[in-house]
Amino acid sequence: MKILVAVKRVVDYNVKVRVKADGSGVDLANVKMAMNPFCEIAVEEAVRLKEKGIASEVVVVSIGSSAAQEQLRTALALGADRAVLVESNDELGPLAVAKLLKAVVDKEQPQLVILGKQAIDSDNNQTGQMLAALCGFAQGTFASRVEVAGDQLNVTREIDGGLQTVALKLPAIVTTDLRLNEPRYASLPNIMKAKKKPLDVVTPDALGVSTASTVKVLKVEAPAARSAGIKVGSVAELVEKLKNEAKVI
Amino acid sequence: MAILVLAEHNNAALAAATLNTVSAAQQIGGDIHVLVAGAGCAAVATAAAQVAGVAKVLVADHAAYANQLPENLALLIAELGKNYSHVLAAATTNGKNVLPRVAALLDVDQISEIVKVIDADTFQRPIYAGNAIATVQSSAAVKVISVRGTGFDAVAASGGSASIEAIASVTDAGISAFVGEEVAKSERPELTSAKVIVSGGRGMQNGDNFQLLYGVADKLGAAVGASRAAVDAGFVPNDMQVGQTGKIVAPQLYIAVGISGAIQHLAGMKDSKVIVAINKDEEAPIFQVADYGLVGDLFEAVPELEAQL
Amino acid sequence: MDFKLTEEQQMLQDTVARLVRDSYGFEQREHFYRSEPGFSREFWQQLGELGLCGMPFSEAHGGFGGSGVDNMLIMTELGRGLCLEPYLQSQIHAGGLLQQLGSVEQLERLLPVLISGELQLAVALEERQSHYQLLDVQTRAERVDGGWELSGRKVVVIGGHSAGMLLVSARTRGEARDEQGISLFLVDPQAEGLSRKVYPTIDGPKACDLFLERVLVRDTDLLGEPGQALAALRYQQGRAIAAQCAEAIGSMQEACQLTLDYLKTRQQFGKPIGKFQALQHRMVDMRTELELATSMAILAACVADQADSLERSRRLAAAKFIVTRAARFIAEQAIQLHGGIGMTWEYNLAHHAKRLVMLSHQLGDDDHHLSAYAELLHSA
Repeated sequence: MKILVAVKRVVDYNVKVRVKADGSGVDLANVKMAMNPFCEIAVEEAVRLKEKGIASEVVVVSIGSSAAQEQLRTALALGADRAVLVESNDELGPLAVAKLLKAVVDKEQPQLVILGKQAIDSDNNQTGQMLAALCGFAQGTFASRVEVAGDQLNVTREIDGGLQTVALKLPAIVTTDLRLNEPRYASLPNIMKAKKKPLDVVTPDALGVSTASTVKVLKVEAPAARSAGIKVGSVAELVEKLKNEAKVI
Repeated sequence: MAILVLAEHNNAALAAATLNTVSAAQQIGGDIHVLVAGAGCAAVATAAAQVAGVAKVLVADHAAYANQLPENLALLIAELGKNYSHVLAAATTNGKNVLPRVAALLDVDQISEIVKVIDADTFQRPIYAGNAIATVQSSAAVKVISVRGTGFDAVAASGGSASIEAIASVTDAGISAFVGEEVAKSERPELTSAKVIVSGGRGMQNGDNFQLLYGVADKLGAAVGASRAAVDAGFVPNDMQVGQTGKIVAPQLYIAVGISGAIQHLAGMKDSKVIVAINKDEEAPIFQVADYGLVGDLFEAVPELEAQL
Repeated sequence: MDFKLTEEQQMLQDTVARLVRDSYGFEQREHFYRSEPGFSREFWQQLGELGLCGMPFSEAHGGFGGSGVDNMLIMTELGRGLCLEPYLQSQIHAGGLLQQLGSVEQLERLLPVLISGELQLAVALEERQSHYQLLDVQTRAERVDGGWELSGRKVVVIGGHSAGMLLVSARTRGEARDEQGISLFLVDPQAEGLSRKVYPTIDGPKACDLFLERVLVRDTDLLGEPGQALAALRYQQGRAIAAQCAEAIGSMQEACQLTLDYLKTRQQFGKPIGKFQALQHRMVDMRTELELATSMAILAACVADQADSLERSRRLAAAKFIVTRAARFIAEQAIQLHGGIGMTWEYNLAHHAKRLVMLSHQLGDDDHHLSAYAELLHSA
């Protein structure tokens, strides 16, 4: 079967982001960018399914500026077969992204779409579920295990306090959680091979999708700093404060 | 203007997260209706009707909703939701699972994990793992919003007397099925939902010393976490890690033991209500976020703490 | 000039950076340091599996034909992580000598296992009296039936304790400091008459001294023509210097980052000490030195694989001198700005500082390169 994987270019997770003084957003000038960690897990899962002979082709798609080609190349170096960039320089929300992905799904007709559960920049955790709704597909979000059984997909999901397993009819959407797998490193031979793999660029207009949004960001600010508390002299004093002042025990 | 709140429950009891969500709904303002969708969930509906501030409880009691499968539930919520100004759910794994599906069906954007209500259209939500707070405004006809519980104090579970109304229509998409569930049977609460967390860092020196923390945790009914340094050093397994790349927690009380307070770790716990730090290094950055700091040897302080609780 | 990395180079850097980040946490490094080989064999194996061990070798030999810049990217990340593996000594220095001097038979025998990571090499060039002079070789190789007998002593062979094969320079004719007469041999560390004294170096990696007493080396293990090795030794030392400069850049970047974080965190007189202008100036000085050193390291990477010339030698000597000077300055300033904690074993900065200070004692110290530069300037 064909698998479509969506990946997003985000600030590298090791970068400490700084809020811009004018409140317009976070400062991304000269900041290291990388593939969203959950998306790496999505690529890895798709490639593993291909290595097991379950998937026949892995197509990776990203929506963003032309710079997102870097992340697509990385996905190709990790083992994806082909890449599509929907090029847009606008700041797109999850609904617009889901609509664009829906257009790609219509064209590619994958049996399975794998996405990261959320991007570590906007922290929305919406796109996969929205895409599932738009396509009318079943969804296995926050997956920690994925197993294809005939025309059905068994997904073990990380839920509050434990694990849940659901059976989904294919085609379906899976969003990845941290424990699904440990992504591999791109090896040097595969990095070299990646540049020869096809990467197509399309525009939202060409896909016939409007990306208008009903949400606008008014401002972005740094979180209120915690004010430093007090030092206590003894365990007895600590227990007393927790009981009588903070009232948390 | 009325607000629809999705009840979080397990068919037997109403989960506390619902009370925080109702609290957010109160701040938005308007009639609050709670939707209880499940199977054999009458007791939940009764409990929801008693929640302070709730005007009406809608009950969709059918096998299709037994396990909160989003494919079925979203159809129901979207159908009901189009008559409301706001649709709210707790930002639990369940709420996060179903709500974006509802928003897409309604063709509106969703606002995730709000921590503050500015007005009926304007909200604050953390982005970049809490390193920035965005103020966002929605012009959508129906505002679909998930609510981070730690941002809102729970309303009282009793005192209300809402009417209960059954929903007859059933929507079964027929594309998914529940297979099974494995809920951790640990005596201790789960990290992300625990009210109290005791965490250890590199200062614990080895895995065996974490027993000291379990002693305190048992007295407090707390979960036990760890810093990345402790995980990297192999003291404890990965799933105990609190931090930007681990679990993000915000309990009522967070006790950091032998944790220096790397930014990575602080990002995962700085929204805790009360933070206690026990560390022998007076200069450790953890003291800058701690409400109560105790400078001393953890191997003396922790057993003493356990004895005094 | 365009300093932007190509897409492939960017991916290479990402791969190595992630590998180092995942494998080389502080505690993990401590563990590797205290282990028997003094580094991580697992990490080394991973470098092999990912093709990174093959980077510096030509595609004709199954490598990836990496440029000086490619090697620089790898070395910078290894430096940032203070990695203990002898990548520079084995893959760049020894591997370069092998590729330059080796016969078809020798290359076929050794390069595949070197590229896969199964074989690790070490270079044994220095002697107690040589003081970075490659031609000051007193170890002697006497002609015997079917081969040579090596006798003498080599010092500070980094990675020599764990190497599967040693590249040893010895004199087949002439007197000490003669340009002619130096040969390079492949020596099996298990050979009869060879003993090793292993010790940890101040900055981390393990090294050893070699004691050779009539160690028999067959003709098939002589690299290149007898007595003609010096040019290759000099050329490959240049490549090693470029790699070492890159390694230093990674370490300096990390030391600057740790210091900057500390200035922003440490409170004194009610505010972060980074608010004090005197400390800001010192931080700026560190960054300025780092920028200068980075430029020189890039220059070194660009000329490392060029044909041998006086110009190349001069630039490499300059790069080594400037980078080493920056390294020492940054190490000292970083410790000063940290105060006592900057010197504690439990804090990463202390280990970076040691590495940065010790750099000048490998592949030629400041005086050595300064006088080399002066001479080259004169002859140019």
